[in-house]
Amino acid sequence: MLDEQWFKEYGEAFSRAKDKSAFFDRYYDPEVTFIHPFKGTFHGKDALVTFWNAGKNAGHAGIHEILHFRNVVAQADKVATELDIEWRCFEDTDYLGPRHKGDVFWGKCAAFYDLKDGKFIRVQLYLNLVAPHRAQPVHP
Amino acid sequence: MGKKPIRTVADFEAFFAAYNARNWDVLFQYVSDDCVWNASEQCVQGRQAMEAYWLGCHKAIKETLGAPQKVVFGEGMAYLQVPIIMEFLEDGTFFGQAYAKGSVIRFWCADAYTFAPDGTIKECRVYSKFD
Repeated sequence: MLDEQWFKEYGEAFSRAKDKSAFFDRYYDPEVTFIHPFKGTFHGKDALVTFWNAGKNAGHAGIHEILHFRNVVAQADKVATELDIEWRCFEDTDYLGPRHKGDVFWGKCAAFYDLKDGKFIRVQLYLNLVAPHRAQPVHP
Repeated sequence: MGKKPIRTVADFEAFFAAYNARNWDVLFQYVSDDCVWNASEQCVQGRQAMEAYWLGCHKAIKETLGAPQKVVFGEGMAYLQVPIIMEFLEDGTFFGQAYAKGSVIRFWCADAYTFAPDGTIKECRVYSKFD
């Protein structure tokens, strides 16, 4: 059962894995589609691990990304949750805008996960960057 | 009008239809009196503030909600995704970007709902995705 405790452990495993390859194998189907609101759509292990990793030329170059899950809801093969993402910059970089070494910035997300055989086959993220200059939609 | 709980996808469809018709009396049947509507930086509470917020922010825009999708219900909570169409009835701005009269923008949002004990919406948090 994918409950809040499961996602807490999942988030901790993600946050401490410097190379996300083994993490991917544990939790993700090889044919996964991962849809990021600003960074595009990633298909399969190579694309997603390259996006997640923090080394030079990787998608998170200079960034240590930490996930904080809350309000997890699971129904059959679907899970939805909110999560706060903490980005810690360990060098100057450009991730969702120019960043300096030592910067810490946050985003607030909703995420939808589809499962196949107990692993994630499709992930869709929605992200509100925590920045005072951004307005937000107001619909119900 | 009495309160109505949201327990099914059809309930969300009725809620969205009320919004698209700007039928506030029907819409607020699904909303608790002290509801917190949290669209990130803009957070309002209660019918008067919510109605003023929607009307004020939309004076230049006609916003139409599509069908709720990927709806996931849990204990006292639900999530969904919804496509949005915004038509600018006059020159205006959205997300800090200027749009001319006649412009149409389409995007998706995700909503996280928390329900009161009677099943009405106690809180909603809105998340966005632009293509």
